[in-house]
Amino acid sequence: MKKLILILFVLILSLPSVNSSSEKEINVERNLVFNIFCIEIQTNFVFIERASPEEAKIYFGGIPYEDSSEIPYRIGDYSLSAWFIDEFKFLLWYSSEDIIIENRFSINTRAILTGGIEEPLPTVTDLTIYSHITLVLLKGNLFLIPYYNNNSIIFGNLNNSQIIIKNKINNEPNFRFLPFENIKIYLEIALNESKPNIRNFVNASTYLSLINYIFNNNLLIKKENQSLKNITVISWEYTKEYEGLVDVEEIITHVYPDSDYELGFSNRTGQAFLASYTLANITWSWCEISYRGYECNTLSKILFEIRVISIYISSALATLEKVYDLGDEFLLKFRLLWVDDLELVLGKSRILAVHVYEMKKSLGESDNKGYINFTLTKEEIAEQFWGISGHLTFIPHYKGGALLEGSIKTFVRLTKLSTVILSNDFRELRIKIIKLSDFSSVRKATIELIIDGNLAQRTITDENGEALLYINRNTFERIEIRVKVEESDEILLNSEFSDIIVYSKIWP
Amino acid sequence: MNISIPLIKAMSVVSILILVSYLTLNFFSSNKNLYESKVMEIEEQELINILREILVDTYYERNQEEIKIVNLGNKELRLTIIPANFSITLSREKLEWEINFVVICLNNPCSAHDNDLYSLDKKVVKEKTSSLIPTLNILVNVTVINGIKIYNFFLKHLTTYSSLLLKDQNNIKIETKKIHEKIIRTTLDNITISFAINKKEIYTYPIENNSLVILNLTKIILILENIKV
Repeated sequence: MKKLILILFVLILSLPSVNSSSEKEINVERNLVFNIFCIEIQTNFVFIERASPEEAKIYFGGIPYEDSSEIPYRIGDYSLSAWFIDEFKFLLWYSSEDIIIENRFSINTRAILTGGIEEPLPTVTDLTIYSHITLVLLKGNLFLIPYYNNNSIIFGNLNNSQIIIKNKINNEPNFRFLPFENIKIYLEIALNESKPNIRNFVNASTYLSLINYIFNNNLLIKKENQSLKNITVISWEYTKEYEGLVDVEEIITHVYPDSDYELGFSNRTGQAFLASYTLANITWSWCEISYRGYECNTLSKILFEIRVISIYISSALATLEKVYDLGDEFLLKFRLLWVDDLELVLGKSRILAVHVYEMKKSLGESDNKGYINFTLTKEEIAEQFWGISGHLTFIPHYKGGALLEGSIKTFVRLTKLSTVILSNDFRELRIKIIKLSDFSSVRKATIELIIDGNLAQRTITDENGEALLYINRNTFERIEIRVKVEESDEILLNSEFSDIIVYSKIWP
Repeated sequence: MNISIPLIKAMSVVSILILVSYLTLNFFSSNKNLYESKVMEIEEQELINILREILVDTYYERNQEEIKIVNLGNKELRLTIIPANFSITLSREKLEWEINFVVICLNNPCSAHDNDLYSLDKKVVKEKTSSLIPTLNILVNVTVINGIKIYNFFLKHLTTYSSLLLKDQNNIKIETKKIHEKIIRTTLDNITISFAINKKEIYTYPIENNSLVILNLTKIILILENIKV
């Protein structure tokens, strides 16, 4: 029993305290994921599926990998090719931004893995970063020649149309989305078809019917009357009848979702595809007197477009870029990074905020350029931070409080500054500014020497964190030092350890 | 009846005279006792105990200001200032002050040895023959926060601005004010902090490297004022 109590006591002692300066070693892994997607186009339907190992493989550096395989990310130049069964046709390669594919439209090419993580990430939990190489195949012996535009593979003869996926709140178009991000899909179809060249017609009319489907393979979520459900397809129809025989010159637009429901992405992270299938049927009908007599005719023109759009769903993390000391408060500037490849989260203005765990509050608002700024007063930091060094924990979440699934906690170091007197003969005062977390020196700290309440000298610390101050009076009652670090990579708190009294004539 | 009337009158006058004289004597007698009780001497040791208790309180009371009245009686109270140099030496600097030590003596000339001027325990007021010496008190405690050792030195000293000699019957008003100051140093090396009075080292304490030294200085100002009875 005594041994048990002793073991428990040792275990309790070995538990780290909340504000412990010794931080857990965090493992950040970087992996490369291989994706193989095949697109199958059928009448009025587009399937987007993953290829089975029997159907296709990616050869990376001469080694075959099946769909969803994962290997450690290693910087280098690798051969890239694919094997697949005869039923498939090669379309193109996609990759994350840290991988350059020499020729995306060639089955045999090279992939250059360019970057590692240069700076250690201040995450609280272990983290795996995923880069990806995606092979896209076309299934079936369809005689369709694709063309490519931005992140889309396009088939068909309905030129000049476009489909843009935007965030519902800020209206920013994007190809990268957050789990459960609320979206709208903007559809624009441009028609420019000439009427048949007929003269002397009677009872003529022109009729346009148009239908659009968005196939998404459970990638989208429909929110209707407070219920959420995965959907595989959404559609929209449009018809218009014109008087007489007319040229159909129209730009038809539509925005999903309709007003009675909301649309968002699911939480399935990684590479994904949406397919838009648009079918337009223009029918001209008329009656005319020809050499065969009075007869009525119709002419139909069918236009279609199948557009497969590559998107990527990933969560985000916030890392500190800079802390600015504004006097009574700190301005914290965070970068918002995608969890999968640590690129900046662009185009998400007004979507995300940062939750500060220790203060139980949500702060800031994301901008369009991948940054999020907010201020913390020194008073509120002091209220919850009584120690000498520690950290604050941050996690991005949706503005308004909704959790951002898969987001990563990061921390910002927080330490009190301290002034060390290296020498003092009351004429010349040499000091050094250090962080109490590790006693390392702080360069470019602003030092103010105050003698009897008056500012006597202002200077900044050198590369070694040192500064030389001159006491230019023979008599004095009180000498003080004030310290401030205007810009830093962590929260550096001035305190009674840094803003010290060098001398006070308290006696006699 | 005629004889008895003057007799009764005479007896009445005598009775009244006796009563008046009794009352007068009684009145003067009680007033005399009252007056004598006001100037009645209390034991010297008792007075020293009272004064010591008041002085010790000033070291530990949190109040910034305090006033107490003590009936001194017919004692001669002398408050003498003994100036001395006090210094604190850390490895890279020396902080120096001139300190006015106080000695309070009853019916005796005041004197104090350097060794009587400081204390390293909770006996902050030393007592010698019929005199009290409020000392420079030095206490230390060491705490650890986030792995950093913090050496807290508490230095308390009672001083006054001027000497005083009180004779005859007095009430004294004892007033104290406190001033606090915190001088903090960060040490990068192993050092020894030393305290000296008149260049004579009275106390040293080893400080580990990468530690914080907090010197909590408290100056207690004693003001004695005579209130004549």
